[in-house]
Amino acid sequence: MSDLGSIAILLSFFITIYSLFACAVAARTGSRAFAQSGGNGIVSLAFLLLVAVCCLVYELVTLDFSLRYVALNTSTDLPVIYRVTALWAGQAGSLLLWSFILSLYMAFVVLRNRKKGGDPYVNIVLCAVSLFFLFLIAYVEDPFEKLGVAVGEGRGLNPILQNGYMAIHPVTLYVGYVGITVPFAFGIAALLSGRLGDEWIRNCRKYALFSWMFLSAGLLLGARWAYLELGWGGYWAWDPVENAAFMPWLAGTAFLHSVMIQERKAMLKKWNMILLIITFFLSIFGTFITRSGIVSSVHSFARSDIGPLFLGFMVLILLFSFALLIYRSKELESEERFDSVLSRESAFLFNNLLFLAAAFSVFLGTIFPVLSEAFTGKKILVGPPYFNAVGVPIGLVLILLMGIGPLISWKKASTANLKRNFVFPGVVFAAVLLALLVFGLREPVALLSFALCGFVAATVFLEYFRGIRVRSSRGENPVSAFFNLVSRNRRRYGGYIVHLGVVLLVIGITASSLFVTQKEVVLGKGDSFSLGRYDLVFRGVNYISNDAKDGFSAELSIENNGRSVATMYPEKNIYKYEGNREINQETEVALRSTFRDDLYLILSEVGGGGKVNIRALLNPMVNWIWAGGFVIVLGAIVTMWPEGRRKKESSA
Amino acid sequence: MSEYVISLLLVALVSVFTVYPLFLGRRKPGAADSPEVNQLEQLFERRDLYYSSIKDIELDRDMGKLSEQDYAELMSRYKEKAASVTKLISELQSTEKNEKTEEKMETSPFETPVS
Repeated sequence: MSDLGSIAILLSFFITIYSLFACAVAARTGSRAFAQSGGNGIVSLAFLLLVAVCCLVYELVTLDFSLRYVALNTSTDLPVIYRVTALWAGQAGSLLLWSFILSLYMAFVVLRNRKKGGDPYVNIVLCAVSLFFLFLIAYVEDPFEKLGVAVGEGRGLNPILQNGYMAIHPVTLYVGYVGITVPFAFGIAALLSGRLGDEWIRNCRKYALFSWMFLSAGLLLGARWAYLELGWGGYWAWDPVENAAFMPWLAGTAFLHSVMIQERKAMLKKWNMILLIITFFLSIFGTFITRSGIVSSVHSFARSDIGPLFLGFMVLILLFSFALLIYRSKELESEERFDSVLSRESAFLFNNLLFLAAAFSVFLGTIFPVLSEAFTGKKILVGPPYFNAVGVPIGLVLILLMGIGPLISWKKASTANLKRNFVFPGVVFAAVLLALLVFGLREPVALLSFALCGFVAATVFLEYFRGIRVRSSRGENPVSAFFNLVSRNRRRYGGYIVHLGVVLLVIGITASSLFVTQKEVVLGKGDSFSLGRYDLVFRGVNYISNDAKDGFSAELSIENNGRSVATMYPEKNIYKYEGNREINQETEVALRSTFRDDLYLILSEVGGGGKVNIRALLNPMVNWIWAGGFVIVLGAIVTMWPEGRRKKESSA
Repeated sequence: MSEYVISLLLVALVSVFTVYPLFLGRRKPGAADSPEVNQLEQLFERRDLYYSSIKDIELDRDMGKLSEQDYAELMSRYKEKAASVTKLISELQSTEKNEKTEEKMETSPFETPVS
């Protein structure tokens, strides 16, 4: 099957070159035949890469160690599910996945636009991007590369990748990353063709929202994986690879808001193009960071020589895109101007600037170690203190804007209306602040964060309440009014659901970042200690051994007010196959989760005489983060749900 | 051996599927192919967007976010835009209908007048 896979990849590469050529002819001459031929080539590309992926999965599942990729990423003890997910464990497989997901998007775009004749310019851009990744897997990082000598056993998959979340996080994230290529293609196609009307921005928004949703889900799945597997008690460490996915998310969020202004008011056209180019650039930059190994990271398990190629590609993207933008800049002049600082347009613009500032600060912090090493020979690491110092103030202002935006209208908000609209959310803000102070909370960031979350939640509530009231005043019952309000204003009210999800997320992040309680104790059998409302009793250590690992499991009974609530078993293991890991011992945390807090136990050391070193953390409200993620995705789905087209009027 | 056979079939299948449109000859453009249909689709989408904006403006006014003056100004602007697009749609559809009628008359077996 490996030869079939290799041939499929080579054929993909040449078919894409042909499709690029055919679409270019179609764009130049208006030839429908060449447009359709190019489109067919793109659909074939998706089929060919499906064949390649299936071949690689087959080789992984059947443990064909004659292939370098299989030998590096699997072993005979690996469960079948992780042999499949090893598809994206290494460099070549990840690049194949990237190419495959992009080909699916491309095929969708072609088939969806077939009735309208398709847009050859869009296909040209998609083919050009695809060609780069296909070149990498065809000639630089071949997933079907054969080993010179036969091996009887593989190196195995890194144990921390053998986790359910790691089975879905990369694919989800890639669907998000890769999906940004499509709105970028629509934007560049508009610049190439000179058709700078409404159509490109409408197409951009739909695909941008889809990929943003997956990027959001992917980021949170990755955070969940880190929380469960990395065993340090947290879920976000401003790791370069985490930042690599966060930056396009920030820029993409700015774009999604800004695009509304262009749709409604035909403003910020140039700005939206710039945002689109930056978002796409950051998605490629993110892939570059992850795949090139240029910045040392706990996630970067692969190092190769694709770095210079990626660098060249990124430079080309920037040069070409901005040159086109400058060429078409006169045609992108806005038809309207800002009427007032107190308007939704202005609030969106401030929001944009803040998101971009956040993206830039994360970008700077991520590449600073590389720059410092390049110029001084010393790698200076940038950690959470920098990112938090910059990110927290920006984040707080963004939450404030999230509350203000819906309360003011397009064009101009009158002072009287502002006063009326801000009373209720303002009262909620003050009430939350007062309540927290009464309960003894004094941490200023936490106070402001929770109070602002209350403000935003009140805003969303007010929007729903008033909307339902308006519809009810026309004779609808409240329940019907609610459903009709959402279904007939999906973009607005779906957006508010997303905002509510963000509120939950921020509450969870604030609480779990600022109010963690932890203890590190050495325990003998029968010893106990307290953490928050829990009493923990160490019952003993068990030795565990199976095909994959040898290790220890500590048994701890958990009590709350004298009542037994759980028994937890944190582990420390040594995996039998060396795999790709850089450490030879792995901890498996034990976790007890409620909406109030998480009890998080790490078995740090097993000493002589049956004593153990346990690190215990009480992380407040972590589950609010994951709940917030669900709500964000739900809101995005509501926003994207297609509204029925109004019946086309027949001519008289 | 079978892998190579499958590979050959793959190459053949993909090649034929990709290049066959070039050999179809000069096709009569179907209704879905005409530039007028594409333009109509775009006009419908733009009209829907204006109607959606009008809906939003009405909702904002009913929810007390817009003054009556701003409401009147915004409504007038968007209604004008929607009306202009609706007029364009009508003209295009009318042109399309006339072209179809002419085409029918050219090809109708009953075209020849009875002398």
